[in-house]
Amino acid sequence: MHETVEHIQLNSKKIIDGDIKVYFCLILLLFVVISGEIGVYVLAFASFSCLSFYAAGRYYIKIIKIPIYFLVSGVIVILFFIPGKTVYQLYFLKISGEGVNIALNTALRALASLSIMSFMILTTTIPEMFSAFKKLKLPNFAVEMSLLVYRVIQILLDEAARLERSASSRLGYASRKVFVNTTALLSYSLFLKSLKRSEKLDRAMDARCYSGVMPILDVKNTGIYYALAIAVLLVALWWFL
Amino acid sequence: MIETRDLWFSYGDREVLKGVNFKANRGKVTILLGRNGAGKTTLLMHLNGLLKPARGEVWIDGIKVKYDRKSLLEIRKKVGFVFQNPDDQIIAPTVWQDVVFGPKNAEMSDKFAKKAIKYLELEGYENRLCNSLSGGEKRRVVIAGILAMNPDYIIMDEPTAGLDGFGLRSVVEIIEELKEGGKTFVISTHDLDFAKAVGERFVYMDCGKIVHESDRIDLTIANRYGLRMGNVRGRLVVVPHNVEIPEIDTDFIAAMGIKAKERAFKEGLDVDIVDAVLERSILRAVEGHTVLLICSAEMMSVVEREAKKFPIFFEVLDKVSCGVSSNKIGRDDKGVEAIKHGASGACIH
Repeated sequence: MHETVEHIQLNSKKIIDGDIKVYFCLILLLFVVISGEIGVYVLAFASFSCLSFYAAGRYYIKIIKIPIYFLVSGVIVILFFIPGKTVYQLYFLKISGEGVNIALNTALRALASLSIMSFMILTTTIPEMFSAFKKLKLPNFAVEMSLLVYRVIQILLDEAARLERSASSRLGYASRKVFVNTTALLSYSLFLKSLKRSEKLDRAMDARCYSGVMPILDVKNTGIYYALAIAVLLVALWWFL
Repeated sequence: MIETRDLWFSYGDREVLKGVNFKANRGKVTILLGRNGAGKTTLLMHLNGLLKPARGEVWIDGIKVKYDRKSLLEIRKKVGFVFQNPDDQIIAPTVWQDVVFGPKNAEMSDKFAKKAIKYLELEGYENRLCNSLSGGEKRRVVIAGILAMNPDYIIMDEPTAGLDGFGLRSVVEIIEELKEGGKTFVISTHDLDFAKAVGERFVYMDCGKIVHESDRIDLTIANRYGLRMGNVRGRLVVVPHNVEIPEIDTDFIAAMGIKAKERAFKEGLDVDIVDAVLERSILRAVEGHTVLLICSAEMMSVVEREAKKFPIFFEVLDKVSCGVSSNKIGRDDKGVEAIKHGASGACIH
């Protein structure tokens, strides 16, 4: 069965959980990006990779794989096109010392950031994230709108999957011409369904005394000591380097 | 008590409710039966103030419903509405957020939400995303969302739609327990098994009107108004010994009592069932056969009383009492097989 990010988030093993996880990830992400120390990058990458791998196993590799493709291509460009004293030459391609430095720095910084973001993505659902943001005094309407939009997206994705299955079962993608026609019809149906859905949502909210409040999740904070230990290690490393 | 008085409503030019006078007594389970498009959902939506009638009134506990915001808020605290499709009702992305949606908006405590989650066995599901739940689990979430507001009345629009046997039993148990706790239910359905399991009062709707009300399910009426009959197919046609024996196509002929047997002999009928007649006739009818039962006129009341306990179409052809000239089986204008000019009835308790 196709595994969605939501399923991975729900089934992941969370050493650090609750609002603290969101704050911890965002603060450390900021710290790692501005620290400018390769040692900090390496330690952050190692520790968050371990956390992510423990949380979601092979899905960590799956999720980090695609940005790494982009990162590798970017790093190669940096490696060959930064001017400076040549340290290695392959035919007409020259690699400068500065190029190596910048490429290494960029690659490690990006990997560290990616591992932190991946950990957050693999272990935090959207409602948990907005719950944490709301406690940081994010305006009510922003949280309410985001959560409603998220709920509607959930329903529309289910609806789209159903329509897609229906189209496939009746040879809706048999040829290129039919594919285009089916996609157009599917988009049109989905649009109509989304309009209908908004009416139903409005009615459901009315039926339950809606007055502008969207409840937020209250997930218990766990793993505070792990989070503190990682943060202290990173800051200490940065301080001493 | 929830009551509607001469309720009229239309969607554009199409009149959906045509002068509905409906009553649901407190502490009872009232079942609204009828085919698709009969107006059941539209009527239910009036009971929670979701729709405003074009004409007529809705009364809840002796108070006439007003449609200003404050009054509607009070009604919706008192009358909870469970939609047919749980996805239409689930507003928030996670179970906990959805269950407490009502109480938070109505500025109530979440005491009942916690109780509802425990009661509906949703503990451990609080942080689960609603789109990752099964149909039965979603159904429990929406019921919990309504119970979280502790309403006196619970309106359910086809709560068993799309549920399997386990889901159906679970909904039946929930309703029975809540009824014990004093809740009042108004439920629309066309599932007779479910209606039979929970219902105490049955109201039949057709073409925007209430066409029949009774304290037990009447299978003939149910059949006429397009309800799903499950495996109810068989027919027991009972004829007293002292009237004209009709010419109908039957699978079995039974004779009960000496007078009936003499009459059958006199008519030259080939009688199939002569021992344990009532039990075997009912059994054959339950199996789906048509049984013609000739019985002594004195035994008619016993036969009627016993036969009505079983899920069969029960019909009495009594030319003397009805003064009819023809007893042939035919089809009525709704395409439903019926005995023309004969007294008929079919019930399950």
